[in-house]
Amino acid sequence: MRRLILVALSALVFPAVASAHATLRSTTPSFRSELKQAPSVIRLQFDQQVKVLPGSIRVLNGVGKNFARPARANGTEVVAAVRHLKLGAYTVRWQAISADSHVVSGVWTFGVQVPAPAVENAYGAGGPTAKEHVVRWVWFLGLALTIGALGLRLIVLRGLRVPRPLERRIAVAAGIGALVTIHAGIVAFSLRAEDALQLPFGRFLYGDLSPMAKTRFGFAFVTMTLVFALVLALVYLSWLLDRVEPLVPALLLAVVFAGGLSLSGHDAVDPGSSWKTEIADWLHLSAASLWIGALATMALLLWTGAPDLRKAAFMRFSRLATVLIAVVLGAGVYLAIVRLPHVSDLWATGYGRVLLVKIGLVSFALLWGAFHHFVVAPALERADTGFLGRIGRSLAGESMVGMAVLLLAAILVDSRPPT
Amino acid sequence: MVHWLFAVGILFVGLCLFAEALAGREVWHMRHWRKYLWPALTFVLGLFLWPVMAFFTNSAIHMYAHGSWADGLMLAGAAELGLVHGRLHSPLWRLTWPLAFVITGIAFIVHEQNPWLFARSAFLHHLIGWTFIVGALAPLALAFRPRSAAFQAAFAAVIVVVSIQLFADRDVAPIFGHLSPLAGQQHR
Amino acid sequence: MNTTFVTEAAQQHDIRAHAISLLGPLVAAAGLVWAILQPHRITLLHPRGQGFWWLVVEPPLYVVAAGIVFTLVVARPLLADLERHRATTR
Repeated sequence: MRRLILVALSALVFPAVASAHATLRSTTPSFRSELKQAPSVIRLQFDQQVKVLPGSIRVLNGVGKNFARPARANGTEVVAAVRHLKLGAYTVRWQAISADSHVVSGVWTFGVQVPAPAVENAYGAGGPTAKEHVVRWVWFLGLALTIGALGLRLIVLRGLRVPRPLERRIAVAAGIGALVTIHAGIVAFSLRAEDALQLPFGRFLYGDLSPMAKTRFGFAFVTMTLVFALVLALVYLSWLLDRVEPLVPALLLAVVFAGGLSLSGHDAVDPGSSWKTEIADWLHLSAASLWIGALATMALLLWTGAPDLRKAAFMRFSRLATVLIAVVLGAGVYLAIVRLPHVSDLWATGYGRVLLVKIGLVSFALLWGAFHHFVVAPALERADTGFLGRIGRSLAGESMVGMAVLLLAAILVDSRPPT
Repeated sequence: MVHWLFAVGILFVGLCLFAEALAGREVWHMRHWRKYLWPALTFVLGLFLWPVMAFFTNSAIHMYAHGSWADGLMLAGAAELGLVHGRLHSPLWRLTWPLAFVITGIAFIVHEQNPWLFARSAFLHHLIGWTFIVGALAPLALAFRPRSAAFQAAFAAVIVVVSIQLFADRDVAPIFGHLSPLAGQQHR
Repeated sequence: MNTTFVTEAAQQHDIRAHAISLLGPLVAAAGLVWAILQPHRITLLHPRGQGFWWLVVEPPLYVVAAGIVFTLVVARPLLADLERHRATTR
């Protein structure tokens, strides 16, 4: 208490330390604006006073030529005159010194008589890295675990007497999936923003991410974060109250908004994209998530937690998987035709080669699934405990192949199809 | 603005905790709905922090701080709900509270970009952070002495103090009569 | 039974009940004092130029509302339960 009073008194007697960390309030031109006339100045408005650095504002064209003259600070505003800009897309990279000597930074794009590119395509951005692929894969896995666990309970085990411990384990698995989806989304968004900003991590922490939030990726990130937070709450409610009803809206929300992942990728904006490809992409991803996720949770949770339900669940899942595989294949073939106009693209382009590996892995998983469907299912009636145990391991193996397919899907979503 | 909305929710949680400490757990649990009241409110406050995290992206660290608070509040609320409903049994689940307090406190201090005396909001962010970190001792003690009215009252006091601090929070306003000249124009 | 002990317990009970009944009114009064000291916090009194959220969020009134809601929804039934509990344990 005495210390607090001392702090209060010293605050009144001595001037406060002159330090600040500025936040960008507005810009001229605004983010992603398409201008009819080239701007003569670039203006940044902060919430507090800032100082400029050499190159505080840079206006870069598609080959990195800077058109901005030296910037000057005027109170909370930083202004730089701009040389005449020809028709085209431009990237503005800015940085300013806050009073506490931290450097705040940001980036945005605008177009002169052309549409402005998304900020992740700003000049200087390096594009997706291996780290981003891995994070997106984890995002996919979280989604598959959520949808798969919920689908297993609501579709495969519908009407069956499910033991309470298994009910709870399924809810916990779905909850972990939703948590992973939310947090992988945050990391994926941060990595994409870090790439656009081109800043080391220390400075990135204070970088302005709001232009990124206004992109398709940002919109998908915001929507999926909110929806999966709600899914998490519903799943928790189901676990707490031992009731299955809250899982129904949770599954519907998770499936409907799973499309955010594909819509945030390249596929949604590249040539050939239309509402049909977007729906096909959503169907492809949702069906694959349900298939792989339900398979994994069945192998890991049901097989060990409810031996009595193994046979019934296996038969039901086998029928469901047939429908899901038909959807995955139908949508996948359609998307491959749209994105790869020539068959030679499959081996001539990087995108095609990744797709080829993915097709190979999917075929392997399908063969494995067919073995389960045509060989294992008929033999199930006379199966003993040892045989059922081996089937559990086999299901786990098939789901591992499915997870590998999701990794390749993550790389494809991050990549640009050939034009 | 968002601070004030959350301050109301946190104030209500604090009042309920005070009332429970005064009346005793046995009386507090006499009505079924009441035992769920403040744990559920805590959980919902955590849920509502996700939109704050997702919609306010003016810095990465701001996002991470709000995300960690959402996680912390949801976890503590969920554990408390599990305990009062009988789904969870170990009183050690109450350790989620001191954990949430410490995470929240650190996030408050780390995400404040200015030093203590820059403006009132900066001062309060640091103060709230330290209140949480030091105040974590109350729920920590409560986890091991769940029937102690004194620890429960201390826990409630920390929550009420934090809500008052959140009410006092301003974006840019003087602290002890002083506002850094670099802080910009103050507003409502 | 020791009468001194019973009287002390009853007194303590009264103090607790009194404290619970005071919580809500105190909070509402604090909100009211805040509103009087800082009327500019209530944008409804001077609604020019404010956006939707500035008009919806009225912090001192929220504090008053929290106090009233707490009194009506939590404190009153709790006091009744406290009395009931006292009667059964007497």
